[in-house]
Amino acid sequence: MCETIESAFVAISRLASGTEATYNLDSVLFPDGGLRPGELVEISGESNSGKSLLCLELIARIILPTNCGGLELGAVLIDCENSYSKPVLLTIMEKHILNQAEPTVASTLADPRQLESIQLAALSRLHLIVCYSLEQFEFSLLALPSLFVKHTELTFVLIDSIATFYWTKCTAKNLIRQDTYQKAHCKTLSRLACKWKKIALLTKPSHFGGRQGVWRDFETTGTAGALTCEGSTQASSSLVGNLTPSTSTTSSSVGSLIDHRIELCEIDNPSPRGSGTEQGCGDQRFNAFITMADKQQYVRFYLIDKYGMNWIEA
Amino acid sequence: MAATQLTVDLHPLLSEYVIKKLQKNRLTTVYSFVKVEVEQLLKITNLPAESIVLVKNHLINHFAGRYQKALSYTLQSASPLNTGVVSLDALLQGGLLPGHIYELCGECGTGKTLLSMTIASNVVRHPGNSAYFIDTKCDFSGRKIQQILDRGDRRLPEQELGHAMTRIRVERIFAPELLVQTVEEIAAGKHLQEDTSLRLLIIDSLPSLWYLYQDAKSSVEPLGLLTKLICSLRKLAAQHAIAVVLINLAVRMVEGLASSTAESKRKLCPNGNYPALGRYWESAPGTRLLLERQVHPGSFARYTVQVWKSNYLRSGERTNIRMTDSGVS
Repeated sequence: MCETIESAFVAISRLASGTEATYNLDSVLFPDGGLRPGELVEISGESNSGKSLLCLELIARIILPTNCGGLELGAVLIDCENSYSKPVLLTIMEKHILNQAEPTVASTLADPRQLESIQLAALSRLHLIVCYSLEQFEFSLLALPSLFVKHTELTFVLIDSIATFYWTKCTAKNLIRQDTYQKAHCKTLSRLACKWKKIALLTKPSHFGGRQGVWRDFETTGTAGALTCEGSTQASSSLVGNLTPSTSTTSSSVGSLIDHRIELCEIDNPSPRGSGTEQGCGDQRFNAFITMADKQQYVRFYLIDKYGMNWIEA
Repeated sequence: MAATQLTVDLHPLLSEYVIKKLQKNRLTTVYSFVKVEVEQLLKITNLPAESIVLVKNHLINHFAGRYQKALSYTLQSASPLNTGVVSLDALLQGGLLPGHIYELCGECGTGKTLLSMTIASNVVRHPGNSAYFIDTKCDFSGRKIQQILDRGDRRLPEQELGHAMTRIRVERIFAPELLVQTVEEIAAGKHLQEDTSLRLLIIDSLPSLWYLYQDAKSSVEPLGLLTKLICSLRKLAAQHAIAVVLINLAVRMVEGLASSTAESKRKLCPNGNYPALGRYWESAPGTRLLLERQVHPGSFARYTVQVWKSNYLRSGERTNIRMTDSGVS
């Protein structure tokens, strides 16, 4: 409930202006400083490389109070793949609180109810929008401004994932390339983020928006290779001529809208895993390539354990 | 999937006259209406500005995704469903989570159908639970279900066994569009039995339907249907707290051809397979379990279940299961 009453004009101009703050979201991922309002971050990776998990980790950092290492801001997660999991988020928050609480708070954490109350207070800053269709997704983007007005501490918008409804849009009568589809949504997001001074993060599978392979994706036999070589000429001839793939310029058109890129990837384990042994396998190791807006690049390594992501010190 | 058209019943202020004027200006869908600026709509419809804003906000709220605060999110508080296979329940940290979508993936003969029938039988042991089994391969066998329920240490008395079997609803579907339609109907509440609550939906199997598109020139239509299917399944699972089990094939990669081109490099599971139905489907289910059958010379076959991918279980964990005449144990 508002304590003061102000006219709509004043409210909007207050929200739309705002200091050029930088948000220090994650010192591991963005060591050189933070994210500025209006920026877009893309998280891409293979299936099961931890994109949704990284979203939950970042959400935890956003909503936790400042005396537990968080930003104490609001976030809205547009969940297209039912990947939000409250138990996982609570575990991640517990890990952050226990690791990063300031001494004054840490001393009170012996009482489990104190931990719970911090978690509940943080969860009140998280908003969820679940979408099960392309139409719901597009309307949800339109519904964001009214959410921004109602909850002024909302600073981050996370979308998981941007590729979910592509095949709904791309029909036989209305062919559209994956990077065109992504570019359209990124434009909308970028406009929204710049106007309302928010930061948007989106996830996508790494094969999305790539090269020609997308048209032959649906392998019906095991011979993926054969289908890619022969079936492609058949498939591409039936498509409209201007849909031939570009080469290296494919990603640059979307790339100009995206300020920061995080690519997650599993490291191939040289040792054979689980071949006949009953024990659990060793931890899978992953790496993250981060490309910042100023073209700096970093590599970070992590494991995924039952407490979420575990960044390995270099 | 067509966008929703503007119709009179969407809002009391949208009269026939207003809609006709919008159609003359080529604004026929709800989305195109809400994207247009208020000033332009003022000129087209002659409605006052406040009414237009009111209608727009109503439509946006109505068609947007479901909004909720994280505090009031209660989906995952339901208790997991026991599968009846002790080692599998341990692997799944309790059982099948309601609202979660699982996929059993494996080559032919690895026990996917038998495992799904075992799970269904175990779920319906409890009088309040019912299961829905969608069969695309005519592999479902009532006799096998009876054998499973009649087995050894937990056998049901005859009358209860009969009741339990009626709680499994079996439907044979042979077309992908019909499958999507049936899932949507279940979500809308049809096909459900009165006094039991649906806890489990099994679809056996997906490739047998989608391989009907094998000769199609382009894969746009099957992938569009797959999108529609997985979105309807997610909605069904989340809104009704149902566990969904899908059955898929694990396809062996042909050596040599794929590894030469970088773009078709797929992430393989440890035993060299990848799931059928394309790259889009790789990230569709929340948890993918790989079933394997290893034949050792001189001894009988060994069956294992391994977590291939999951957003809450640890990938790579595996366990052994036994295939017997009366199901999986």
